[in-house]
Amino acid sequence: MRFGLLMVLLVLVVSLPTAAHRMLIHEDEPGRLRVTFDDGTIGYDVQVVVYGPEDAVVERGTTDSEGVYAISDETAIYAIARDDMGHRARIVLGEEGPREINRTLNASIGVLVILLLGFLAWYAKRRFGAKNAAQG
Amino acid sequence: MRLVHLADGVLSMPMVAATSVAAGGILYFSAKRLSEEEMPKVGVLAAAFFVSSLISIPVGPSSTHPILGGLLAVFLGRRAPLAFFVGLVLQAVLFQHGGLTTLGANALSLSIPALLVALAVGRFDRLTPFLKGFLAGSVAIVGTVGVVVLILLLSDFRFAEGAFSVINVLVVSHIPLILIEGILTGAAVQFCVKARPHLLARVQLGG
Repeated sequence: MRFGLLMVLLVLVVSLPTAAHRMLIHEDEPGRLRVTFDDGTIGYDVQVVVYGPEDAVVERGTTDSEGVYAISDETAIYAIARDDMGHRARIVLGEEGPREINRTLNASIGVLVILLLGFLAWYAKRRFGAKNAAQG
Repeated sequence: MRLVHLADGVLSMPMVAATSVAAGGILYFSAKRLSEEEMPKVGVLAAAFFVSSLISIPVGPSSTHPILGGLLAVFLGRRAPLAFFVGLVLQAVLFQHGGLTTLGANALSLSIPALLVALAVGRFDRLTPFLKGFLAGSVAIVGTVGVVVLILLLSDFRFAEGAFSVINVLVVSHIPLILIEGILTGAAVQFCVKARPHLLARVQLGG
């Protein structure tokens, strides 16, 4: 049992400092995109497709080892970053990047929602179960 | 190296439709005749699954996170997809991990391996609890990787191209997670067999 608890603690200790896997794309400065994930890791070798007027592809390429992609086309309007693992992010050039998420608050909300759903399901089952039993 | 959460816009529309319908069927199967006694366990493990995507495990220059597929399979049996579904919806809405159009695909990638593991785990009585849990945790990850690869390839064959194709990256990069999930699930099963054996699912997929 002690070994089991130790392993669980080990995984949690190794894991806690960061969070995971929402792809983010920012425009550091005009025409310079940076791809990251919400755990702070760099989005290197991520495919970037840049679109111009009428949704035409004006250029495409991949981010460098720093997760940076420099746009050279002056008609560029928006860009989509996408990797092979099913992640995708979009940015309209000149506009604000992705909004920050308060993970602690949202995690608390999520857990409360699950507990509430569980309670409602349990209550409904108990109430209707008792009613059905009384009728039967 | 971040599995499970396929984002909106990644899959083709036919694949979105097909996976949504299939996931709906599995969800119905999972929720059918859910008993009062099972509800707290489903709720607690759905919450554990939900927050697990915030736990990041550094692996080389990238990172991954526990999926808990095997753990939920062992503890919930056929109810595991229900917990996955609730967790995935909340992850998509609250953390923007994954997407709502890919909810079906994400749910399938977890549910199919979990149901198979739940079905198989009761048939290996001669194994020690830790080994049984280890295999459940590891095999569930292998299964999830397999289903994600299949869904991506069926959606767009470009995922198979190049040295960093989805197959190369997914399969190779998840070896650490396979070991971690195996150890985590093995430890949890070993602990529960000693402390609370009734918490382990009596797997009756037909029931």
